Amino acid sequence: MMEESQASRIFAIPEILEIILLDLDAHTLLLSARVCRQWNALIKTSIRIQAALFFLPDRKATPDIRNPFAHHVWDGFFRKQLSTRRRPGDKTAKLPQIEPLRKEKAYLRPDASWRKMLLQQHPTSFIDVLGNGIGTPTELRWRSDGDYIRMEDLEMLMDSEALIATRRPFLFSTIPRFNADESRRARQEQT
Amino acid sequence: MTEQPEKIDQVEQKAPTLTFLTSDNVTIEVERDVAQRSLLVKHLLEDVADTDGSIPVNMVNEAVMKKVIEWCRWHKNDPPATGDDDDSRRKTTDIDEWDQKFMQVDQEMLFEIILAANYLDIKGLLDVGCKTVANMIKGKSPEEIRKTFNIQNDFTPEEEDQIRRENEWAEDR
Repeated sequence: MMEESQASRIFAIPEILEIILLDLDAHTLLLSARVCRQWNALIKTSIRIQAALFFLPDRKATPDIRNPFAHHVWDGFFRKQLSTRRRPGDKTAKLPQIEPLRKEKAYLRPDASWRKMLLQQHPTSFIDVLGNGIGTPTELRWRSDGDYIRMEDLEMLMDSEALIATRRPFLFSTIPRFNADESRRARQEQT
Repeated sequence: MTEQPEKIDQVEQKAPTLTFLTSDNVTIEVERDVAQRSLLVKHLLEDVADTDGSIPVNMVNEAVMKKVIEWCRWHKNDPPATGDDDDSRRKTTDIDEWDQKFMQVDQEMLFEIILAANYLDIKGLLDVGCKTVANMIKGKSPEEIRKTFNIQNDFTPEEEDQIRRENEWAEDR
């Protein structure tokens, strides 16, 4: 049998492994749940790691930290047209197709981890919405049940409430009425 | 316990010292203010007014202890660690130049230093060691991380697949 490495000795001490994992960037941290059971268990149970991954609220965060994964989802999923599902605003916003299909499926999985993520730390209960894509955004309290907005709430807004993700992350617009001006603007926005 | 009492008396004039007895039975003499970077030692000295014997450090061998002391000597005038600095630690991931050079050791020594810092309760050294390990992990895939540290993949294929699927959207950004 292989001799126990020094690495496994320090990784076996949860306090030390937690310090190391908290020093990682969020992206490496999220994916490293797949290293082994010990890492996975700690990542799933450590309150501080769960907050670093935006799964649990961290009300002590100062200043506010945007969730980098939320940008990733916004640009890679919300601002893309899907081939297996139609969102009300996709056509108006003339969004590019998500590619490849494997990527779309990865996002659409019900158990995809991005769904449970908060938008930022401190967590927020508000979203910004532009009326018909113009003017000054209105701040809307989306969650009134005391919980904070999670990424899956935004997806639901886009699927059912007829909001469009604008180019600016976390700024929504209601679907503009379709007329020549709007469609020209939509085209310009795309370029 | 008191192998070299006369030697201690000699250097007492310059700076008060104490001695460590390492796991491989070597006595190392250190200035007290340097040794007190270790909270374990600091609290020990507060409890026991006069230790003229040597402090046994059963978990640390001579080579590692010498590295630890080298770090403590360089950092002996650092402000003491505060209790609740978890957040400030998380924000600075850069390691200063001297510490970077200090941490240029083989993996086994690096991990021995971390274990010693944890045991002796030297927070600054523990943080620098952990950051060094974190820098070795950053940007690596789970497979590369396992390979780097010789970690066994102990998931069943089904378990690993489930975790992979949950996070697949975040792969190859």
